[in-house]
Parts: sequence; C-alpha cells; structure tokens
Amino acid sequence: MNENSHMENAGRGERWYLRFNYYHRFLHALIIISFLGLVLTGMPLKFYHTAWAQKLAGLMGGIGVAGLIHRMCGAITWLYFFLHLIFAAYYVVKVRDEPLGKWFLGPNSMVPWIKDLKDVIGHVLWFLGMGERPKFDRFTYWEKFDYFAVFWGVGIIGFSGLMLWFPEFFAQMVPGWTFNIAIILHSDEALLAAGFIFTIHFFNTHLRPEKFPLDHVIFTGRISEEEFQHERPLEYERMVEQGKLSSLETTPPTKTSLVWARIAGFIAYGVGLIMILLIIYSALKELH
Amino acid sequence: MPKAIFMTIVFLAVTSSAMAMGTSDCLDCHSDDSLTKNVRGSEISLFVDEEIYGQSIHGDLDCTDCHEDLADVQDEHDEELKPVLCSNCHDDAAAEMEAAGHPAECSDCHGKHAILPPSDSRSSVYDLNVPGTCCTCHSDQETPDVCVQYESGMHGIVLIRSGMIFSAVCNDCHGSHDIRGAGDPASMVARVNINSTCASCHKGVAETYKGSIHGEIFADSPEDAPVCTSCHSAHDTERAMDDTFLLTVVKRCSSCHEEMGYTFSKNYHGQVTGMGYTRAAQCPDCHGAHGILPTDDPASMANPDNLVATCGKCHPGANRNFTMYMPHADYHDAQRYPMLYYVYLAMVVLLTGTFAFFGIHTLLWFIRAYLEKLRSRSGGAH
Repeated sequence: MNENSHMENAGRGERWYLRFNYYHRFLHALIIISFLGLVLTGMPLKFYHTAWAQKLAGLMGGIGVAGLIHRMCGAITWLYFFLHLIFAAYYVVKVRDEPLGKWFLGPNSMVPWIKDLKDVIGHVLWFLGMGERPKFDRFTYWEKFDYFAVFWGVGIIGFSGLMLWFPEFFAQMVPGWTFNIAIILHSDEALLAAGFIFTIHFFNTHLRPEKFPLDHVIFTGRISEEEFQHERPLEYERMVEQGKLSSLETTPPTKTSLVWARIAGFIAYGVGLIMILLIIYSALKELH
Repeated sequence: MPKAIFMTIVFLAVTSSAMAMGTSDCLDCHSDDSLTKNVRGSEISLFVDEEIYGQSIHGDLDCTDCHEDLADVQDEHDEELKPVLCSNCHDDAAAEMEAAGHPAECSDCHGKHAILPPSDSRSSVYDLNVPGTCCTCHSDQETPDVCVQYESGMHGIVLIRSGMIFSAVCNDCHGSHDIRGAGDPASMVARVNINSTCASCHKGVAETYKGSIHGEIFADSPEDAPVCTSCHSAHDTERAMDDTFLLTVVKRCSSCHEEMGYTFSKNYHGQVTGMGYTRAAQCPDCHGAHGILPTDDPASMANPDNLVATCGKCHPGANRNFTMYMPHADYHDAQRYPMLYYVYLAMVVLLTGTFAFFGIHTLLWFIRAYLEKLRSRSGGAH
C-alpha cells in the first residue's frame, strides 16, 4: 500500500538512476554472447543422437567448426571471469568506502547473509499471501544466486573445459580418469546452467509480470525512480539518507538504446527458448 | 519377310550343287544383314558377320562344327536348329556350370559368332567388360542393386573410372563357370571361403588377419568369427580411410561387440564420431583393424603397456597418466565405475534440487505477481 502510493507520487519515468556502469554492462554482454555460443555449440554434442543436434551442427559447418566456436566462447568466458576479478579487486581496494567486514556482509557485496535468508522466507510467504513483500536492497537473494551460479559455473565448467581442451597438458599432473569426471561435470553443469538461465533467470529478471517483456537495465544501465523505489526500497532510502541519490541520477535511456536492448534481449530469449525446448524434449525422450 | 526367305531358299536350292554344306555356303544367305526370322513375335537377326567371325577364336571352324545338326543338310535347313553344344569341346567349363547351377547359357556371357579370347579387349569377358556383361542380367535383380553398388565401390571405381585392369571384377570373387550362391558352402563367396577369395589379391591383409584374434577364432569355428565382408561391404567396398567407412565402422564392430559400441557412444570419441567428426578415434584407431588382439595380449594396441604409443598417435605428448582415461566408461554402472557413478549422482541431485526449488519459487512468484498486477489494474480503473 505504502509502496503503491509512493510510486504514484513519484510519477512515471521522471527521474532515472544509474544501476550498472559501462563495465558491468560490457561484461554482461560478453556473458550473453559467449554463453549463447557455448550452448549452441555444446548441446549438439550432448544430444548428438538427435536430429536437431545434427542439423544445428550442420548449420554451423559441422561439429569441427562448432568445437572451434565452443573453444573461442570458452576463452571469452575466462576473459570475463578475470575481468570481473580485476574489477572486484579494484572495487575492494579503491572504491569501497566502508570497512572491509561491514562491506563484505553489507548491501554492496554479493555475499549472501542473514537478510537474504530472511528475504527468501519472506518472499515465499508473500507468494502465498501470508505477509508483506520483503524490502530488497541493491542485490536481491536471487540475483546473488545468479551471480554465484555463474561464478561457480565458470569455475566448474570452465576448468573442466580447459582439462578437456588440453588433456595432454593436464595429464602431466592428474590421472586420465579425471577427464571422465571432467566430462560428467562439464556436461551436467552445462545442462544446469542452460536450464537455469533460460528459464529461471529469464523469468526472475525479465519475464515476470512486473518486468515483462524485458528489463533493459542490464543493457541501458538505467533504472527509473519509480522502479528503484519499488524494487529496491532499502537502497533508495539509504541513498536518500546518505545524500548520495543525486550522484546516481542520470539521463533517461535513449530510444535507440531501448531498441537495441530489445533486439539483444529478444535474440537471447529466442535462442534460449528454442534450446531449452529441444533439451527438455530430448531429455524426456531419453528418460522414456 | 518369311516369304522372302522362302524365295531365297528356293532360289538357292535351284542354283547350288548337291554337296555337303561349307561355311561359304552358309554365308551365301547369312551374310545378308537384313536376314531375320520371327520368334514369338520379335524379329531375330540371322546375320553372321564374316569378318568378325573370321577374327573370332572359332574363326577356323566350319559352321557345322558347332551347328552339328546341319552337317548332313543339303542346300536348305529347318528354321529351328538344335542348340549348339559347347560342351563337345569345352567339357570342363560345362561340367563346372552344370555343377554350380548358374542359370545362363554359354552365349549369354561369351556371345555366339564373335567369341574372342578373354585377353582380347573386345571380348565380353575381358576384365574391363565383365561387369557390363554380368549386369545385363544382374542389374535390378537384387535390392540394393549390386551393379550400382559395384560401380560406386572401390573395386568398381578402380576398374571403371581409373581403368585399372587389376581391380577385382565379378568373376574374381564369384568364379567364372563355378558360380554359386553365397549360401552354398562351395561358393567362393560363402562365409567359410570369402577370406581366401579376398586373399587372392589382399595377401598381406590376409596374413595379418590370420595372426589376429578374429583369425584365430575363424580357424576354429568360422561361423563365430568376423570375415572380410563382416566389416567391409561386398560390392560398394569403401576405402578404410573414407568418412563413409569410419562413420559406420563402430556399427559394424558393434554388431558383435554390442556393449563396447554402446559405451563408446556414451563417451567423447563416440559423441563426436556420432556428429560426423572422423578425426576422433573410432574402434580401429585404438584396437587395430586386421591384426586386432585382445586387450590382455601384450602385443595388443590397447594393452595398458602400449597405450602411451596408441593414444600418442592422436595425442602427441600423451603419458602414462593420460592413458588412464577410460574411453568406454559408463557412469550409470555403479559396480564398475563407482566414482563416476557418484559424481553423476551428485550432479543429478544438484540439478534436481536447484530446478525443484526454483521451479516452485518461480511458479508461486508468477501467480502472486500476476494477481498483484490484476489488482493494481482494477485499482487504477476506479
């Protein structure tokens, strides 16, 4: 109730604030490109016995070419992983304006803490009509989960991928049966990642009724005041309290940037939706 | 036309002397290239080309040496002649034909008046011409068409396209007169004989095979061992380095080694092979082809002591550690691969858990968010 009246007072699209800087957006673009590339070139191998896998690989010029694209996208994945680590280190050393411990467990950190646990419970209770919607901060628990899913995913898939890319090199350190394990991890973790991103992440971030059809913030970096207050009230209030809100204020997203955001977003949806349907279809068929 | 023939015969009867017939007498009529007779509605030429007959291997023989029933005929003869008995001279070939039961007349393959020695390039049974001769009957006789298959197979390509005379033609494998069906144990292409038939050219391969486990089994019980044609197609024979062979070799080996074929397909080499990538290892790359030996044989390519060299063919720098990769592992098999099984199980739990939690979470969220949206919309309408 309170939120709703607040929203109306703020008016529609009056003020805009910067949520993601260029670096964030650039890294996310790298993730989109490399991830779609990896799924398109990797899944045919996992489902090699299906007609769609053969066709998809054929479109790319055969599984040899697909393998090459897959490795290139893998390299991009490692690139953004390290670019992010550099950014994180830079943030902790140069940008952070609060004590390390306070920052680490605070709202500007991706580390999940007690508030996130409370939010999970509170959110589910709200789903069930058994309470108020929790007030979220800069990063919600599902966003933190997304973040660590990618972090863990890149670690597991990326490292097992490297092992399978350079088996002769890794065999100098580990026995060959670790490649058998690496294949299981690589393949099933990839299934988890693709399944999660193309359903849960797409819904949580873009497709749920409040955001439908697309939340452009990751492309434009901008969030409207109305949405800021509704989606991240704690951060908004803190910014007001600390007098930092005006420093976040920015120009509204341009029409062109919104068009590009939609094009990029819908391409990703399209690829994701097709792939997830093919995967589910084949997985069910295999179970059968 | 029969009237014309009749008139000719009458004319000849009147003009010729009363002597036994000689070749020149016959040719008085049969050198006419318009001379025909009617057999069941179709015109059959009775023309004999004197020049070609003269060059044929039978050129020195008189007509009546073969057409014996005409030996005593004066001037004219019946329209119906008795069949020519080649067996009068060619008794060995005739006996073979008789025993084998190939339902063809001598003339079907050799022709009639223009018979040339097989070494003559104009002969219908000259090596380059044999497939064409056999295929006058055998084309479209079987499915798939063996003639089409032969043409696209290695033997056919070498013979027809490259024009190489040493390539195998029909009779090299099936015999010339002793042609028997593959089901006949005496056939050159019967299961028990096919290896030695192929070995008449592929000598070295045959020797290697004899030393292999397959050769060893063949020596004891031929029915239980793969023979040449178990892995190599009979007519559309591929080259072993061709993609078409490499992409199907797993299936061929799997027709006996079923489980190995299955576990191969569940692992990396098998998956990329299944996607049409032949640079990955297929069965022969690790196990060998003709000289294949069981893994516990110290000379086997797949023996653990030889794996560094075997894997190293594709993976230069492969070491002992490297060879501990299990190319036939099956992570569903908890008995033999417990470690892989539990890793797989952990992944299943992780995937199921994540999707179950977020699946429910998402569904509930959608319902709630949708209800909220409806409510705020109706609120806005007031």
